Amino acid sequence: MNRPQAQVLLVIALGVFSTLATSEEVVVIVNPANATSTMTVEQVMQIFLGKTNNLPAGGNASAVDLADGSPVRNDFYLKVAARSGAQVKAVWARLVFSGKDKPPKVLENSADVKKYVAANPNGVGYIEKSAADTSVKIVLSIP
Amino acid sequence: MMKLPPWCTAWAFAHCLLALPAFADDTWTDMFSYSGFGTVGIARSDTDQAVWVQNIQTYGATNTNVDYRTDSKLAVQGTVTPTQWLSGTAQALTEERYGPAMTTQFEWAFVKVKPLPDLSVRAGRMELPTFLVSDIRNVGYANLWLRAPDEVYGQPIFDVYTGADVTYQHEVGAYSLSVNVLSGTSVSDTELAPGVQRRIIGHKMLGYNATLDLNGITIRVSRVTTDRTHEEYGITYPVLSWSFDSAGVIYDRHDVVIQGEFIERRTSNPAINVNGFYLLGGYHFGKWTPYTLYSVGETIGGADGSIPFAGMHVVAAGVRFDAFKNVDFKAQIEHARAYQGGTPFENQNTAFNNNGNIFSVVADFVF
Repeated sequence: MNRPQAQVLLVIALGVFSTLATSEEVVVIVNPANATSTMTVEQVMQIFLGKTNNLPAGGNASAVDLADGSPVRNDFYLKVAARSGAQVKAVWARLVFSGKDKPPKVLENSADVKKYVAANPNGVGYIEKSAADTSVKIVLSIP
Repeated sequence: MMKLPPWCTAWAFAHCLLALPAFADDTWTDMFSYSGFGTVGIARSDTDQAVWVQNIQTYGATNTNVDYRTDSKLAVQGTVTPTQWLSGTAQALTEERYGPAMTTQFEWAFVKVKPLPDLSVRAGRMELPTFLVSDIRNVGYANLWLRAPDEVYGQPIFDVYTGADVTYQHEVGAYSLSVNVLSGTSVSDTELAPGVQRRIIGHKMLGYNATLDLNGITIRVSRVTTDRTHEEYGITYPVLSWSFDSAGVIYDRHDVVIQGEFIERRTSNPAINVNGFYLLGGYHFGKWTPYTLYSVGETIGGADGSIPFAGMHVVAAGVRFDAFKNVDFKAQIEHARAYQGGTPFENQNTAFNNNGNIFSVVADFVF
């Protein structure tokens, strides 16, 4: 391999790693009092794409979303459902305008999501791992 | 039909609703929610020998007339959820129907009760679930295509009904099965001319449908039956037994979207028995999704060949661009071919060759 090619590859590799590095681990959280201890990616996807409202350990989930355009939100839906922000919106438009369901309540930031879940026994949300503490229970980590 | 007075458009309704949160507290906003959708669009054809018209609409496009009514619409929906097991939903839609002006109607107004987590019962005025995407056919933002293919979605007379339905939905892992049964009556009134009414009633309407969701693959089958009566210019036509079957699939995984549906309308009058299908394919390149659509709707004719064919073929290519949060733009070119002077072309000149190209551009939005 000649030198310019190696440099190009190095630049690409650095680009890829820096992209990965900025994508922080996202965790799915529930209220500590909730009997649900773990959730699968499929179970989380079903709640956040409106396919079910049922929590694995019983009870109606009160899901909360981060605001549109939030990097954590985009990351969460790409990892859990392999869907972009616009695709997720289209899924919810189908559910809302067919009268089947209403979308999760939207909160401004991770601190508000954590506060909501800590205060609601059936609350479910997602935040970056560094924002989680003992006021909530982590049921799934999404690297 | 549940027609609203002319001053009460969906737009006015939206303003009333938008004013509400100003004095809302948390409990109120949790209990009440509103949302809406709409499309602003124009269409133009390349011929002056006929007018391209969709469904029962009055106005259409030619090469000299840019038609803004065919695709443009606005709807507002409000939902009240006093408890987790009880909710009420109403949707008002302004669009072009039969007649000179765009009109506003309550599409739906129903109460939903959820006695068990997997079971729900609704009563009121609801969409008739004839098709794979009956309930969202007007929501441009929720669909890849620019408009639902009229060759299939324009075939039934009834879009909504008054009655009740029961839905059972069960999940296993990432999969779910939903079964729905409905019963009711549908009344469709059209003012053909000042003081001249056409009333079509679907009596003893029954419907059954099942949807299997396999995490990105949706399979749906449905059947609707009714006894149809028809009054026009003071004449009452004999009761027609009528059935409508649909089988459809949506594949939506890994940036690929494929959607197909086959329909059959069967009645006690063989002249209006129809088969139809469409196939839609698209691929997401980031915010851009090019797609292509082929659709056909045609009478099946009599066994002895005594009934002439009627129907239409459409082949279309378009692109959806997710431009902003809550807004998409779409552009489409389609080639439509009619049989012997039929739909989708009206007011045909004798020289018309039953073919036309239609160019459409729309912006869809949700709020």
